[in-house]
Amino acid sequence: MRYALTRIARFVFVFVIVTFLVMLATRIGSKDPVRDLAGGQVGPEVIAKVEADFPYVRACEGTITYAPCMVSQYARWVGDVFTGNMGYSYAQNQSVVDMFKQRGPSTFWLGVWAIVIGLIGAVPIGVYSAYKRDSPLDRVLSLGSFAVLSTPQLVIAVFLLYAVANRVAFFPNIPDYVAPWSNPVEHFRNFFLPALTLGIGLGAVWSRLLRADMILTLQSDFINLARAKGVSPNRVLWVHALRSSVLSLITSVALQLSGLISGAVVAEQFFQVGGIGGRLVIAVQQNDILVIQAITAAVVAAVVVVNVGVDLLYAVVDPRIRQARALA
Amino acid sequence: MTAASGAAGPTVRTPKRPNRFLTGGSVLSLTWLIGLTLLAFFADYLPFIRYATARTKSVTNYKAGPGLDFWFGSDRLGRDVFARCIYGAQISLRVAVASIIVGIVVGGALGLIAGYVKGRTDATINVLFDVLLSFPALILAVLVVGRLDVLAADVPWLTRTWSVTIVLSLLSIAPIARIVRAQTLSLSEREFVLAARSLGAGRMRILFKEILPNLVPAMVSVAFTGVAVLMVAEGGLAFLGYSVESPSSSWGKLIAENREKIDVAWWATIFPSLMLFITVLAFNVVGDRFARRFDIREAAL
Amino acid sequence: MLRSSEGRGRCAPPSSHKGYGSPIRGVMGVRLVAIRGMNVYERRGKHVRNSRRGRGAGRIVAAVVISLGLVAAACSKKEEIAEDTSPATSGDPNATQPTVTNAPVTMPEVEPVMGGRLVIGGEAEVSNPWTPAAMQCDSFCHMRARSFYDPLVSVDDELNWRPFLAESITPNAESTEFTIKIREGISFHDGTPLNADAVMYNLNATGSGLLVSAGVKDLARDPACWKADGGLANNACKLVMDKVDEFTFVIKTGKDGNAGDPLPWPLFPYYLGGQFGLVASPTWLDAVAAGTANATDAVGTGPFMFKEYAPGEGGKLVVTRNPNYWQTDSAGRQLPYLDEIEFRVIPDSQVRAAALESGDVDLISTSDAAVVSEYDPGFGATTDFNFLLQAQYSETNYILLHLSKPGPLQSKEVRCALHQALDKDDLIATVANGYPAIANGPFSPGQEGNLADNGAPTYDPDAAAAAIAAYEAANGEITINYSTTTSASSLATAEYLQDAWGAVGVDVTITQIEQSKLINNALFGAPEFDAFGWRNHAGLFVDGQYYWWHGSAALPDGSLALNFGRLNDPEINRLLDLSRSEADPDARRGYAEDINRRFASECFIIPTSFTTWAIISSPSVMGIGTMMQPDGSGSFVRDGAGFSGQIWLTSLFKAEG
Repeated sequence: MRYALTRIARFVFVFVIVTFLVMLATRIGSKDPVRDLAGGQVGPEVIAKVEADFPYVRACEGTITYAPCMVSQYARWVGDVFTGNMGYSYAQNQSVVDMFKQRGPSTFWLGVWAIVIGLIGAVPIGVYSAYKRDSPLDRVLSLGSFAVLSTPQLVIAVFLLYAVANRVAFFPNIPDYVAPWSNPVEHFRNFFLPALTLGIGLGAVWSRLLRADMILTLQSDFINLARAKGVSPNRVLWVHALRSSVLSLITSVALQLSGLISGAVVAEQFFQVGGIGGRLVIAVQQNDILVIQAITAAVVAAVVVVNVGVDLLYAVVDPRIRQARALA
Repeated sequence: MTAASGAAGPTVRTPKRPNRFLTGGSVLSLTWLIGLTLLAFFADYLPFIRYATARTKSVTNYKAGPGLDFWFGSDRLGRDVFARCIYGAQISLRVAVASIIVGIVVGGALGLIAGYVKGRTDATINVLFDVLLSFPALILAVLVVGRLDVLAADVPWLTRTWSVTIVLSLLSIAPIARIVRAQTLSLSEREFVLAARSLGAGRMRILFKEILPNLVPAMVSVAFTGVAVLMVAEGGLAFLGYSVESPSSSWGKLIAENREKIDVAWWATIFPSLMLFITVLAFNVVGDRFARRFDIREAAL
Repeated sequence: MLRSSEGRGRCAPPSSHKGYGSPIRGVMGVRLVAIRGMNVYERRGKHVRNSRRGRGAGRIVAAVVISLGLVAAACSKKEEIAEDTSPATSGDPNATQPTVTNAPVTMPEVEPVMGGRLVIGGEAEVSNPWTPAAMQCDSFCHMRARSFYDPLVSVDDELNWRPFLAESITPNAESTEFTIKIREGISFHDGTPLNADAVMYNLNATGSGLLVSAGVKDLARDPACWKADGGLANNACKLVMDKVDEFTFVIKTGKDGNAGDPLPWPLFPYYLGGQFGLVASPTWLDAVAAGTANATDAVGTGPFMFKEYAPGEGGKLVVTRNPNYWQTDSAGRQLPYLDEIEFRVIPDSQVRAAALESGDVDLISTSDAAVVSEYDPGFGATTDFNFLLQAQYSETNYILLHLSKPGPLQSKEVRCALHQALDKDDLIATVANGYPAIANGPFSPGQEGNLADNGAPTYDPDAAAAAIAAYEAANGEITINYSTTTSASSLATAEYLQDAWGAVGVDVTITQIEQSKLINNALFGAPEFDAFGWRNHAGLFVDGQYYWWHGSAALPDGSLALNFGRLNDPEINRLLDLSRSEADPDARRGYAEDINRRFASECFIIPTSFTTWAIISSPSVMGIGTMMQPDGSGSFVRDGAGFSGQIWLTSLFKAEG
C-alpha cells in the first residue's frame, strides 16, 4: 500500500511539473496571452470579456512577482479543470470540453486499433519465432521485424498512401468519425490506414519482445512439467507459455504509449483524421493557450495513469517484480 | 518510466548468434553511412551533384522523372531531387549528430552522477527524467519549436536549424541519461571498481579512470541508435511544418513538400523516404551490432 | 420553373460580352457549364487527369483570404460565351482550343426534386462565431452563412443591386439617405418577427463590429461619440438611423461618421449584400451577448436552419431545411428544395477534389489552379462533373508589401525591382499549372478599373539587379522576410520568390505561419511583416476596395488596420474619395483606372495572377445558378453575392437516381 502511494505521489508530482512547464511555455514570447487566447483580431471589449472569464491567462510581470503570479494562475487553472471547465478556444469558437468530445473518439479508436493491429501481427509471429527458434523463417521474420522497427512512421504512411490509398478506391479521402457500432464498415474504412501506420511498428516491437520472452519461458521448469504431464504441444505453447508472457506485453504497451501518441500526431495529420493530435498542432501555431494546456494535460495524464496502472498491476501480480521495478 | 521510442527498441539478445561486429549487414550499413556522409559533405565539390537550390526551368512542375540526367527526377520548381536528397542528408545528419553529441555529454553527465552518487541526487535527477519522458517526444518538440519560433523574432541567430537542434538535444538527454545511469549502477558494483575503491582510489578517479572508459562501447552503440531515433523525430517534426528554414531542406521536409503530388511525381516523395528509411536502418544495424559485440544490455528500464 | 436557356436569351454572342482583356488569355469571361448535370462540352483532348490525388495542403499562391464581403462581388456571368481562352502559358500540350461554345444548351426541363441531402466541401475554415458582427469570413464562410442568413440586397444579372430581404431600398436624390423597407410577414428561425427594429439592431451591431465598422466608416454615427477635437472616438458608435414605421427605416451617410457632413454614396446598397447586410435574430444575438446562447448556433431568416457545427479541420456544419422559408419558386413550390446540407471544411484542395471524385462530397468550391485546370474543359479536361468557372470580379493574387515600415520597401525603386525580378509566366507555369491569368494590377477582369496595359513593370532581371545594387550600395544589404501560410504549395511559391529575388541580389527569409496568425500579423502590422503572399480585392467597383487602400485605414503598426500594407498615398486617397461619391459610371471607371495606373507605377503591390474560382459538382447536382430574384422581375440572383467561389444554395436539388 505504501508502495502504491509513493508511486502515485511521484506521478502526480510529474504531472504537476509537466503541466506547469507547458503553461510557462505558452507564455514565452507572448506579449499578450489574453489576446492570443481571444484569437487575436478582436476589440478591447472582447479582450475584457475573455480576461474576465479566464483571469489566469493574464501576463505575469515583474521579476520577483513573476513566479508567485504564475503559480497562482496555475492553481486557478487546475481548479477550473477539476471542476470540469477546461476553458474555451476562441480561435475555433468551441469549448475545450466539446473539442474533446468531438475529436477524442477519433484519437481513441486510432490508438485502440493500432494496438489491436500490433497485437494481431505480433502474437503469432512472436510465438512462432520462439517455438521455431533459428529456423529460416524465424531468421527472416526477425530481420523483417528489425527493418520495420527502423522504418519511420512517416515512411510507412507515405508507402501506404502511395501503394494503397491512391490505388484502392475503398479508402476515403476525408475521413469522418463514425462509431464502430453505428457502421462498422465505415468505421473500418476511416481508421484502417492510419491505424495500420501505427500498428505495424508496434507489431514489430512486440513480436521481438514476445519472441525473447517466450524463449526464456519455454526453457523454464513449469513448461517442462506441463510437457511431461502430456499437455499437447499447441496447448503448452499458446496457453501456458503465452499466458506468462502477457505481463511483459502489457508493460510494453505502457512503455510504447508515449511513442504511440507521438506517432498518432503524425498519422492524424497525414491521413487527416480529425483527432486531438491534429488539433494540438494547429493550437500550437495559434497559441490557443487553453487548448494546448488541456491537450497536453490529457496526454500526460494518460501516460501517467497507464504507468501507475502497470506498476500497481505488477505489485498485485508479483511482489518480486515490484521490488525489481522499484529499483530501476 | 517510458521508453524513448520504438525504434530505439529492445536489442534483445538471442543466444548462439555469431558475436562479430563486422557482419554482412553492418558492413553494408557502414558503407552506406560513410558513402552518404562523404557525398553530403563534399557535394559542393562533386561535379555530378547539382546545387540543391539550382532550378532548371525546363523541368519545372515535376516534368523530369528519374533518369540519366535527373537521377531522382525533378521537383515542382525544377530542382534536382537527387541533389536535394544529398543536401538534405547533410542537414539531417548535422542536426541529428549535433543533437546526439549534446545528448551524450549532458545526459551522460547526469546519468553518471545519478548512478554513481545515488541517494537524493539520484532521486532528484530521476524525477527530472520522469518529467522529460512522460511527454510524448513529438508533442514536446512541436511545443518547444513552436515557442522558439516566437522568440526567434527577437533573436536573430535562432534559426529553425538551431531550434530543431535544441529540441532534439533536449529529447535525447533523458533516455541517454537513463542508460548511463543503469550502466553506471551495474559497473559500480563490479569487482574492478570495488578493487580500486579498496585500494583507496578517490571518487573522481574511479569515475573517470574505471567507470567512464567502460561506458564508451555502450555510448557508441547508443549514439548510433540515437541518431536513428533523432532522424525519425526530425522527419516527423519537418512533416508537421517545423523544419529547417528554406531553401534548405531535410528529408522530412522533402517528403512534406512533395507529398501532395505523390501520384503524379512519386519520385519526389519516395526517394527521400527511401533515403530516410535506409539511413535509419543502417544506423540501427550498426548500433545493434555494436551492442551485441560488447554485450550491452538495454538499460534496465 | 427552371430557367430555360433559350427562353431567356442568355447565350449572348461573344461580342456582347464586355471582355476586359488580360494579357495572356485573351478575353476572360465566366463560363457556366452544365447547369443541370449535363456536360455541354465537346469532348476534346485526352483525359489526362489522375482520378485520385495525393494529400497535402494545396492552394495557389499563398492564398490568404479574408474578406468582409462588404460588397456584393464575385458574380458569374451566366452566358456561355465563345471566347478565346487559349491558355498561352499552358504547359499542357493537350490543352486544345477552347471547347466552350455558345451552342444553345438543350436541356430537358427537369422538375426540381424535393428533399435530399448535399455535402459541400470548401476551403479553409476561418472559425468564428456565426454572428454577423464577429464573423471573419472568407468565401466558403460566406456561402455557409447565406444558408441561414438572408442579406438585405442581392445582385442581379446586370450586376445591379436589388432588394432581397428588403422589399425596397430608396436612395434620396443625393444618395446620402437610404429608405429601407423590410419585407413583411417573415420570421426568424426562432419565431422572432423580422421588422425594422430587428434589421436596425443588426446594422448597428455589425456596423460597430471591429472589422466591418471600418468598411462603413462613411455612415453617419451618433454625434454623442464625437471627441472634443472633432474626431470620431471610435467606430463602435451607433449608426444614425430613423425608424419610419414597423417595417421601414432610414439610414444616413456622413463623411467619416460625421452626421453633419452627409456624403453622397451611390454604391452604398451594395454593402448591404455582404456581411453588413446579413440579418440575424436579435433575440439570439441578445442571448449570445448575455452568454446564454452559443455564438455558433446561428439563427437567421435563411432557407436553412442551423443544426450542428463542429469547427476546425475535419469539422462540419450541418443545416436543415427551413420549412417556413419566405420564398417560393416561380411555380409556387416552397423553397429550398434540399432537406439538408452538410458543409465540410477540407483545406487541401487536392483532397477536396479527390473527395468529389469518390463521392464523399457532392460539390466543391476551389480556387486552386492546379485543380481548376484539371476540370476546365476550356483547358482540355474532360469529365462528367458540372463545372462553373468564376474568373471575373475575382481576387488578385499578389505580394503584399508593408509600406510604412522603415526599410527598403519604402523605396519605390526596390519595390519595382522586386516586381521586375519576377517572370510571371514562369511563376504561373511552375506553381499553378500555367492556368490562371497573369495579373498586372489589383483589378481582375470585369472589375471596374481593369486595364490590359496599366504600365506595370515587366520582367527585366538585369534592370532589377541594377536597381537593387544601386540601393544596396547606398543603404546596405536588403533582406526581406516573406511570410506565407503553412501549405506545401505556399512554400513552393515562397521558395520560387526566394530564388527569383535572390537572383537579383535580395536575400529572402521565409516564415510559414498558420493562416489566422498570418492575417493577424497583417492586421496589426507585426514586426516580422515585410511581404506576404496575399489574395484579396474581389469585387465589382473600386469603392468596394476603399477600406483596403485608403490612408484613413492605414493605422500604425500595433493597431488593427484593414489597410494591411499601410498604404497612404495622397493620390490614391483622392481617387478613392472621388470614386465613392461619383454617380457617373464612366467617370468612376476613369478614377479606378487611374488608381490601377498609380498602383502600377508606384509598385505598391506585386500582383502575380488573378484567381480563377470554380464550383465543381457531381452530375446529379442541379439548379446551380437558377435562383430567381424575389421581386418577381424574372431576373436571377447572381451567384456569389458575397464574392467569388460561392453559389446560392436555395435553388439546388439533387437529381433522382
